[in-house]
Amino acid sequence: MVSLIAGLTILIIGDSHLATPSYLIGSLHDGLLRQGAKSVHTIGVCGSTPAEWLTATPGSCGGAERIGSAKAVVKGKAAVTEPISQLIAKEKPDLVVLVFGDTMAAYTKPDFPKTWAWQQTTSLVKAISSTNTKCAWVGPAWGSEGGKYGKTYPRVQLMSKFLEANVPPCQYIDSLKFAKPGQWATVDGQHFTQAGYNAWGSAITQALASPPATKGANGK
Amino acid sequence: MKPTLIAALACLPALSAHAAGIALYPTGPAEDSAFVRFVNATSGPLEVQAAGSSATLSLPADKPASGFMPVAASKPVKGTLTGGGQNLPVSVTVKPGEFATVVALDKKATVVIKESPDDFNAMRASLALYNADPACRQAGLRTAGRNVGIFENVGQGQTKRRLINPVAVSVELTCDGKPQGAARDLGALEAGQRYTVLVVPGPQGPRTLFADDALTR
Repeated sequence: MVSLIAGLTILIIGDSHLATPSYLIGSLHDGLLRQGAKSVHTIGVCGSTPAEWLTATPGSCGGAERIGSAKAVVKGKAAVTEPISQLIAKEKPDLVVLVFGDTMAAYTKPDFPKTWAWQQTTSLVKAISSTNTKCAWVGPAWGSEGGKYGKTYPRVQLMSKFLEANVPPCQYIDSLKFAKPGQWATVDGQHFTQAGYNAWGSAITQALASPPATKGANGK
Repeated sequence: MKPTLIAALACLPALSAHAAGIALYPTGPAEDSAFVRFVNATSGPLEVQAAGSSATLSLPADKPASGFMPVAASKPVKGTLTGGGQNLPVSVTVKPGEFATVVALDKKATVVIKESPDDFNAMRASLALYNADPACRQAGLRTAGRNVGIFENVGQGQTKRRLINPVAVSVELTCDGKPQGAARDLGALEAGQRYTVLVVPGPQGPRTLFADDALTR
């Protein structure tokens, strides 16, 4: 069976989950190439938030970039976001995949910053939808509670529900449905071991390979 | 040293490097965003001047509402409203997560209405009714022609907000249950957008203004 990803030009941007070669910049990127994507370009900037992709913003903890089947290039302190409008104009992707959630959830704060999160989310979604480019937003995964980021299951659920309600017309990919809480081991509560990133990348790839994310993208 | 222990120790640097691979970064802002906007409900043009700045904002009769401007939360936002040859100093403090609207009225009066919404949703439209008219004790809004209630019992200085389907809609204002003035066509409301109908004093009694709750950058 031919994958719905086949022939698509795909751009992936996001936070730290894309910023280390063994993370999603490896497993998700490879998964989409195996599904027959025409090209995949991944840029991860550690700690970045969605609105920081409207204007060039330096990363706070490194980053990485990968084009096609080449190895990921680690950017270190040189990591900087690239404005999404510029990326779309330059690469004309059929599909933009966004990986954000953990940098917006305010795990250590008692109150979820919903107004700020709404500002962050809608500004990036509007910038993409104004170009009539299809998009898919990958929400946060469970991770494990505690760790240096103070992640909690209730807050990651709240973050995920918020994104599901606010990212349309982007398709929402609910990563919480891919595993049980704590099922994928982490190194710090938030970032997974290699097995976790392999499982997450594979699950996202399968979700993207089925409607509705790719519906109509080939016919652009 | 036993070979097994040596092997285990030899693995330690790699494990530590992996575990410490990502430097700690914030998972959100220091505090939630806060916004303020100004609405001109006077009988003439109005200018808003920020304190300590030469920047001014003009609010003519045909565009009486500014967008929501981001401000520092929990610190007074000060300025001067100028219209009809008179100046009126204003100061408003907005909490994190709050949207404040300063409505300028005739006779050097202002009404500040604040809300902390939690209805953010990209699939529906969000509509609010703000009552800034002291003469309208209990404001209501209903669809024109069909008399389907959208809001009721919004007291002076109060607000109510709800999600509605993103469709074209005309509304009719009521005060204490009685219709006021002509119907207002709000046009086609868009999914994910936020809007406000404001009740303000008019020469023939309470009237409405309609504002798009867009953010300014």
